[in-house]
Amino acid sequence: MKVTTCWTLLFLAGFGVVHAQDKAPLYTVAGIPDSLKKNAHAVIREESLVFRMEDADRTREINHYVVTVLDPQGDHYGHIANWYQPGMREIRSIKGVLYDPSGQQIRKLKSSDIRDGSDVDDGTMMTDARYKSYNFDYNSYPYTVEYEVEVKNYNSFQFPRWRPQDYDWVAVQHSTFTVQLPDNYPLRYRTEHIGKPKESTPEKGMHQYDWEVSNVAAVHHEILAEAWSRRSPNVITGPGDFVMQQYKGNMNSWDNMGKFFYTLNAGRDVLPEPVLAKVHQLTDTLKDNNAKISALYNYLQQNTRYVSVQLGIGGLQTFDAGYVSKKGYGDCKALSNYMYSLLKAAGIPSCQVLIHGGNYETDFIPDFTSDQFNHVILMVPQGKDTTWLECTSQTLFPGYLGAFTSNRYCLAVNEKGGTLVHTPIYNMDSNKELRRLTVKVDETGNAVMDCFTRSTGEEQDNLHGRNHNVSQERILKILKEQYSLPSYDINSYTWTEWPGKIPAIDEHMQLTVNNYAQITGKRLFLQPNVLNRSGFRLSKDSVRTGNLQLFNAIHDSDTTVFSLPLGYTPESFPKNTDLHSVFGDYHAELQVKDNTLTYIRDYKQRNGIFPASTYLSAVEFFDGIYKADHAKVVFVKQ
Amino acid sequence: MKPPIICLLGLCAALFVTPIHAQDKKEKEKLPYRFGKVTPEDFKPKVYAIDSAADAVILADVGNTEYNGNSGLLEVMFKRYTRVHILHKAGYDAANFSIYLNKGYSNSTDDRVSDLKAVTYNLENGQVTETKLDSKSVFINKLSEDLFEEKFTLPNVKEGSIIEVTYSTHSFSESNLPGWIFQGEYPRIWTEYNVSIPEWFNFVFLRQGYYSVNESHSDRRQNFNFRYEPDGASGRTETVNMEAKVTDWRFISHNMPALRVEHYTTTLRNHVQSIEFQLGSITTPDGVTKNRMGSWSKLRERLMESEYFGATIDKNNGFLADVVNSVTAGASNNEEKARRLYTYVQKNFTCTDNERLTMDATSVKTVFNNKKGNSAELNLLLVAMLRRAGLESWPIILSTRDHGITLALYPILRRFNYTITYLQDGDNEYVMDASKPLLGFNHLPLECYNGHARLLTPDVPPVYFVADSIKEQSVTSVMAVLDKSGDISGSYQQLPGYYSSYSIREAVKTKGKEEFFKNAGKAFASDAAISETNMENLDSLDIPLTESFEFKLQGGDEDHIYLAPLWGEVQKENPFAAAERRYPVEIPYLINEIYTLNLQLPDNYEIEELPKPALVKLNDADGIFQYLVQGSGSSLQLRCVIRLNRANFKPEEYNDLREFYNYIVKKEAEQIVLKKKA
Repeated sequence: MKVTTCWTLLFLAGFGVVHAQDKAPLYTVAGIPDSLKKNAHAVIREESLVFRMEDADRTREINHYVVTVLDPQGDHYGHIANWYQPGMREIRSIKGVLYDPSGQQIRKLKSSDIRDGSDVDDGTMMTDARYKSYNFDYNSYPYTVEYEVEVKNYNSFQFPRWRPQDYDWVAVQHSTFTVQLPDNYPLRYRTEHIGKPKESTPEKGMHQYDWEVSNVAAVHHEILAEAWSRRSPNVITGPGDFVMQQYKGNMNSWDNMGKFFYTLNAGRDVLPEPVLAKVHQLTDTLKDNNAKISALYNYLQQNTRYVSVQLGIGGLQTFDAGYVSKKGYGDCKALSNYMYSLLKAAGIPSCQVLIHGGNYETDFIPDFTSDQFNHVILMVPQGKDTTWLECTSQTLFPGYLGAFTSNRYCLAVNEKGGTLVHTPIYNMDSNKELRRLTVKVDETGNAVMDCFTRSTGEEQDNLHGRNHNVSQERILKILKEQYSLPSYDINSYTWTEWPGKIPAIDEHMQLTVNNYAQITGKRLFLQPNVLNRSGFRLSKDSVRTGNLQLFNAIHDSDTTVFSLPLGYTPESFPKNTDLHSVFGDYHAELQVKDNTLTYIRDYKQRNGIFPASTYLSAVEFFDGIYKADHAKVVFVKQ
Repeated sequence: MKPPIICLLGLCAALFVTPIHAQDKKEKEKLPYRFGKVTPEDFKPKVYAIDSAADAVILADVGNTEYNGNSGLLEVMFKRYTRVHILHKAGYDAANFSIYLNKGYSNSTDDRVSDLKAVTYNLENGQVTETKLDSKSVFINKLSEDLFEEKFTLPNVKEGSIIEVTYSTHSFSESNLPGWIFQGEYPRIWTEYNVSIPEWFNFVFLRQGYYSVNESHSDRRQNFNFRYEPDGASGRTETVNMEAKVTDWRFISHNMPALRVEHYTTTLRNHVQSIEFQLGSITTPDGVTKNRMGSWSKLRERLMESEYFGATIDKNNGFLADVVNSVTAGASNNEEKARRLYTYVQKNFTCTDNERLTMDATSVKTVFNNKKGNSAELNLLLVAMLRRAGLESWPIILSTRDHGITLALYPILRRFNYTITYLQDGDNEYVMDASKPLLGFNHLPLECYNGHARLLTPDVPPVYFVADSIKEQSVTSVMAVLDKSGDISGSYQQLPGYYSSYSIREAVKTKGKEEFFKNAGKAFASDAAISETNMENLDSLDIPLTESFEFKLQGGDEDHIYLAPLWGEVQKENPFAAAERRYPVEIPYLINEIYTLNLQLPDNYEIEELPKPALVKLNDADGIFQYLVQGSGSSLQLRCVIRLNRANFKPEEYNDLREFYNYIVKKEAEQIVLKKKA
């Protein structure tokens, strides 16, 4: 498969504007219809993304676009940044022109001004990925930029995704997507909010697919919205047979994709003799597989840490088990592979799992096979039970994943191939925060508080991360600044952890809060909700078009007992609140007996996608919670 | 390549050398560690007295710097040894190392690393095991054309590991004698720096910090054998083979606590315990003494002659004539001309890089044609244009607050990072920064108020921009009416200080006015309905703006109405949260906040209870808090003032400052109680 004809001809037209200054300017701001300026910070005037398979192991992408930036919030489009990796993906050229509102050229990009930078950041030890970037840095609005980037991929693994409208605040006047493949190479694609492509034969032996959209208006930004990728037109494409360096594979099914990853990483599970001996020493006397898994996972956590080194094909291919045992570190692939090897040595089969990590991510497309992954974890199937292991963590308990990888599809890989599986869902009963607070208020309004909190499941994820990763001194500092209290000191803070498939953290904190109650003359003012006040409200003033999405299901339950100075009786007292909606249930109540005030709050939030028509009830529900959480009690001295 | 201004500084007059005398003649303290000697005993401590919460403790960090001719050229060899006990997972970062290397003017003068050894020790079954760093796990990351980073992490690091690292760097820039930082993210039990200086080099020692460092020195003779180029890289080469006096300096300190950033800090650079060396003069082996510290006038001369700074201000600038003439046409006086030129640069050029001292381009013309430039380029362009208009304008160089202070005593260029514009018109002086699109004429960004700066007129006088000179005054007034049904409606007006106005202008530019008022309304009262939003003087950048709106707050027909009368202006939390402070509080300006409320009451409610008036002072004259409230039958008035007359407070004054704000928070939370008439 070798195709070279006509390639350049196709693209000469693309950057024509640059060479045709004498003609009437094409991209005047006046040429933007008013309908496209509404809600928009930028308008894509013209875009073409062309992807061509040049050889079985080589592809080329040319992206040409002209964007008018209307205001500073659209400046994102004035800037261009493209990543590359020597030997895998190379940038052949970047061209750019800046135009004024009348479409006249102001200046051109000079290739000597392109910045070339390393992709190494705080979270990466080393990578050979780099980027090239440029910014016109223009600040007179509106202005128009034209860019063209040509990229050569030395693999046929990466296929493009086209989403003409990147954000809700950009409008699209015209955008096209073209894929050219040898005619014996069918295109796999999946579309959303757009139809089938126009097909043609651009030249002998090639087949072409074309999509286009015109006049897509920007939309008003909506909060609690579904992933933008679900709401705007887009096409995702993927290879069939592909070549990646010296490896060949096929992506027609999840099964095949799994086979490729298995082959790529096969034979990398050989443990050095002393580690094998250690595995036996740790597990031979244990009868139960769960105990063996725990022992080995604990061994992994005590002896390794996460260090990211990504060189060449190393983005996909793991360092072998010997490397990890020698260095005591690795990235997600290497650590998962190492854990896989440890389990294998103990006679326990497991699968490496490709997954897209990120808190509450839900835009994975299960019905289209493509590389939608950025992370690897491990799955240990045991009959109907499955143990999930996040191998980059030195602190998680075996079997618990957390919001970073829970509740989503992922690809489990073994010698038989790949299977799409689903990680555990942590629901409202798993994700709890139970708090009991006693508050002693003295005559001056100062308060001493004793706070016990048990957090479970995803409600303890952040706590777990914080308490394990920062020093005690820093925890105290964070606590010292975390609460919206007038002026306070943390007198003590201790915590303990309870392992399990749904882990729990208990915190015990003692605080002194100056002027928690405000005393003015004979009255005492006090806010019964001390630590769990909602800060969340929705604005009424918009017409909702998109569905609402709530990501986390939680259950918070607070009991606060105040003991007040003697002699006060209630003067003003909020009513009990009960709110019920599809989003959840809320209850707050107050009881007074002598000088004791008891406040009970119970909040359950459901997750899921709710139709746009529920928006007003969401406004009302969250408003109701906000108000109830901020209610005050007034006491008066007799 | 960055403009090589630093190496051009030499050649002249005055010497700034601080003589230092030995402070202890006792037996030299000996480092209790040797590379490779780690015993099971060493793993015993699980916590260290210096900081029981530390995730890693640096047991020793020792640097040695000497001059030698080992490689044929005279080089500065810096050798480091460090031993760290990693106690918790959160301290794993202490096992990551980066060594920064500069490119020299030729391959043989590039900085390089040698003798890198790094070992992790773990205690396994009572035995100490070693894992060595292998050379393949040392990565070289190119950061820019002239700066590389050699980075590595130690293998096999676990909780309880001890790590040791030693390496040497070789640099061929004789004037760059590495300094030493005694403090950092992790506490240090032993931190020591030894530096051996041949008699040819006369360095000024710049020390800072709040802890004691023991210093001592002694002399010895050393033989040197190297080639050097007395006339620079392209000139003749001479060989030196001679004995010289060398002074061995030792700086040592123990139990240095970790250093963490707190609120109201310019930069930790000003506070970290450290020593730096600045070359004062060189006596070359052939006996000629050359001043290398230079003087302010030499520094100025070099800058003004550099093509990356002053050289193009007056050169080949004929192209500016047309635009300067058209911009200033019809201007009635010099100030008017300057204002117009300032605005012209501000509006027509984009700043691509903040906080720069020098230009990347080699001429003002390039900047002009590109319509963009870094902060120095835009200011130097403005200087050039002002001069073209016949005005007397010069650059001022300074260091921004986050970059650390500059010293009036020493002309050290690397301590400067910013260039602004100065104009003199008869007795009137003006300062401006053309790189900030929303800043007014004759205003500077807060970041510039960092003390000593230098005006580059021929006599290079020091000028001072101090936080104490900025009076940030905000005046807020609320006029409101409570009606019979308990609803409150009224108007809110605020005249914020100049720098608050600047922030508001920035917020409006990036998010829009609508979004600004949405947030302003929420800040005023979470359930306020606001309307008639208005902003005056938004585009009059020289003066503060005014924001105002009308508001409505729903009440209820209650027996009692409780009002927290400061609405959006209430100080809800103490900004000085930390219980103690180890270095000064540096507030960027003086504070003067004035709030007044005038509330009309309906005839069916009466005042039942008012907070008591109060007047509190901070150390007599440093600050004042005033709370006045009075009510008559149908109205009540409140006036509340917070004033701080100083911007900087010493650690020992911290507690008073914190108490002052505690009181304010308490007082401002008090409520007014109204009662329905019977």
